[in-house]
Amino acid sequence: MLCDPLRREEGFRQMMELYQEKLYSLIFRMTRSVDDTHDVLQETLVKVLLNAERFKGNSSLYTWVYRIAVNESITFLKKRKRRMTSELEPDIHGQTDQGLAAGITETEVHRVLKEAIELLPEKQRIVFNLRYFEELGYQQMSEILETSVGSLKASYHHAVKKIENHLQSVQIS
Amino acid sequence: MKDEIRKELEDIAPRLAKIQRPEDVPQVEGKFFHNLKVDVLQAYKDRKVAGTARTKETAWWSFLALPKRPAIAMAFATMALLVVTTVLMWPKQKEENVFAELKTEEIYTYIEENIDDFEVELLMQSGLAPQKSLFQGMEEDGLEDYILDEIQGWDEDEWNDIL
Repeated sequence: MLCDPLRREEGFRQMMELYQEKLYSLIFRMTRSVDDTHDVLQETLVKVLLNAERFKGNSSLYTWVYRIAVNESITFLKKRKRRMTSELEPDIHGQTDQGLAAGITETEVHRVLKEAIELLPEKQRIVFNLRYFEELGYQQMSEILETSVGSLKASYHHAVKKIENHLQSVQIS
Repeated sequence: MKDEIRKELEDIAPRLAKIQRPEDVPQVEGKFFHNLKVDVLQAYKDRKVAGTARTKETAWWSFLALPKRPAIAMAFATMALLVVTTVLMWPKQKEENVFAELKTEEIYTYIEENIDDFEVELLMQSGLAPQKSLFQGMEEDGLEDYILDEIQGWDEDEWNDIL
């Protein structure tokens, strides 16, 4: 329906009902900013409509739309990284020095986890988010990121190990 | 899939596996997705129109910019030179062929009318000399008068030559 120019608008509305929240979560976890999420999500959806005729059905619509969302997020992050000056960036490294050993709360655990995720290299962070939060299989991730399953498994393993070490360093058990 | 992911996580990172997965994505306001749909559809239509216009504009600019490229400019100049040369050469070729379109009778008529302008010996050599007699059609009295006028001026030597 999305591929048919005459029914594209209707197809778009149906697609939104199915994926809007998942796409929002995916993009938010990559950008970590509500405003940026809105911008990237809108751009993603416009690109989906503009390129709808190119969707051949080789992968599922969900995978195809996710791939566009991930690519848009990566492009956005690169632009933001170039734009940002060092003093405007959050001092993530400084925050990790805080000890959370005694009386640590659930919220604080999540804050430490968030810090650990943000410390990951970009590719590992994307792979971790897709696997840990979105619960995608390696095959589907492979189609979205156009990377081999073996490479994705290795990236996820490294990412999880780094987070585990970070949690250990702040004595979360 | 969820169980598989959970098992995998427990094997690699037991601490992380124990932490309840955070729900860290903020809730959106009620009409956010509805407004988003409207904005996206509008942006899609705008960009589609702009894309079509840009394609047409690009095509025109590409055409107009062609002479700026040295190779294309050289080709245009060569074509222009050829056209000018052809135009200049065309009338000459017509002039050279003008007698080819005339009939033999028309050529003889022209020569007879303009006989004073031609060298008779050259005409004889080229075989273009009038085949009809120059005196054809002349009245007998006129012919006698003509002969008398001619011979009146003859000297003795000319009379000896003819006799």
